Amino acid sequence: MSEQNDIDALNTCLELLEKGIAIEVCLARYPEIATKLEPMLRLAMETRRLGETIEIPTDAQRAGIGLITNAWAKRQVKSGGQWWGVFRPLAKSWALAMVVVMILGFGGWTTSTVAADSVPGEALYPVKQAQERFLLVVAFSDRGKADLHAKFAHQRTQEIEKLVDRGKSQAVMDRTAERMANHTRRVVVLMGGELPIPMPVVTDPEELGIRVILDPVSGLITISENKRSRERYKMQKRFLQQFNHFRKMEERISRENHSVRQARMEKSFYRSQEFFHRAILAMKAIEEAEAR
Amino acid sequence: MQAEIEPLIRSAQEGNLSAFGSIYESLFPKVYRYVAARVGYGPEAEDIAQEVFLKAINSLDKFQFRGPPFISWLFRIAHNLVVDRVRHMKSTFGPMVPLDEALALPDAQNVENQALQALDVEVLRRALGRVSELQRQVVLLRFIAGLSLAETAVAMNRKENTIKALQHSALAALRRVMHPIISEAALR
Repeated sequence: MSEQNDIDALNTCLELLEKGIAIEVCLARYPEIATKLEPMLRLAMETRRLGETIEIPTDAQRAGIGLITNAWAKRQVKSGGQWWGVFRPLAKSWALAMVVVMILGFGGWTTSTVAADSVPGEALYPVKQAQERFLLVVAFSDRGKADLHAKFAHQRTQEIEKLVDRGKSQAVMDRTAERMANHTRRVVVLMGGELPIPMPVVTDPEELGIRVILDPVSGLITISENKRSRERYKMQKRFLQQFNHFRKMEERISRENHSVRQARMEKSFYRSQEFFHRAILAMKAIEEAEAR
Repeated sequence: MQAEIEPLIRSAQEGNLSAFGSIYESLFPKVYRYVAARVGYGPEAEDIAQEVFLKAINSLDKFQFRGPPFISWLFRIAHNLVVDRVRHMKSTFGPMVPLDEALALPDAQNVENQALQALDVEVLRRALGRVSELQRQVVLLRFIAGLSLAETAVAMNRKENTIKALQHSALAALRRVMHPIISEAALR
């Protein structure tokens, strides 16, 4: 057989081995070169087995999640900054939004007011997003930006409720919940916290600066205002505002008669709430780090 | 592989972090093994593997479905990073020893079996240091990272027939260089 045939035979056998065919079966197909093929196939199999024995450093993999989340937040902020480059054709919707924002600058505040009530998928929503981005650009300090992100996270939560009322699709609601989560992550990053935010594990609510009570059955949290924590956190007011909204939504969900709508509300609501709860715990971690 | 992760890639390109997180979870082990087999275990390999995904985030918008499969694209990033890093720490592999075609092939079956039994990651890494760059890359992509022939071809920017020939010559070369390495290790 020619060398090309040897090469093809080896490749065919490797593909068969990948499919779980026994080496003997492969070799039986090429009896005339079986003695040449066998050691190469065994070496390939052993190399593959060795590869699988390389232990994955789970700590490093977990740490990587944190790095990726931070890089992602920076990417989002960076791409957020690209709206300045409205002259690029790629940001058509942002270009439109920018034009509207500029009009607002000349006194069109009525549009601004209407846009504030818009929800994802509506024509004026890009205006609202542009306004938010503008505010983030002009907020110089990290604390100021964090405050805005906390406010926007709360607004996304309100939007989810409106989306349900306006019969928007689950996909739009999920995207809004993801935006809410992104705002919350940025609050944590800007406040000096570390990502990923750990899963909520509350053993003793009294230990928390903010009184957080987690119902282990429903997964719901309740927060009561605490003077000490209010002084400590500028975010407290925002978080409490959001918590109150969560509570309102919770009541609404329980009153909802339409089962499909109720299920949709629950899905987005609990997702938002989980991120919110994680943010609260992240704030607690920041407090502990600062105390040390 | 591409079909499985395509929805995740699209979602990540739209800004969904958790979609990218899922990609990371599923591909980190392959990337790490590829890197570790080249530069050895430890923080260096961990850093490079993480950096691959950080670079991927920065270039995610540039990734096009009409182009190379995502996994091939990712391993191109991994390869470039590894090559850069190796260049800066030449001592990792030791001096590159050109493959000596005159090296005797272990002819007896029991010698071959002994060699396979003694094969561990360190021996493999040293053996890989003695084959050509292309041979080394094809072994790492095909057998350590587990890429298909087509994915390997795209990752290495070569035709599939070239990869077939390379994997053949790479396995033949590894057989030649492994035996002396194992004997050397046994004498220590």
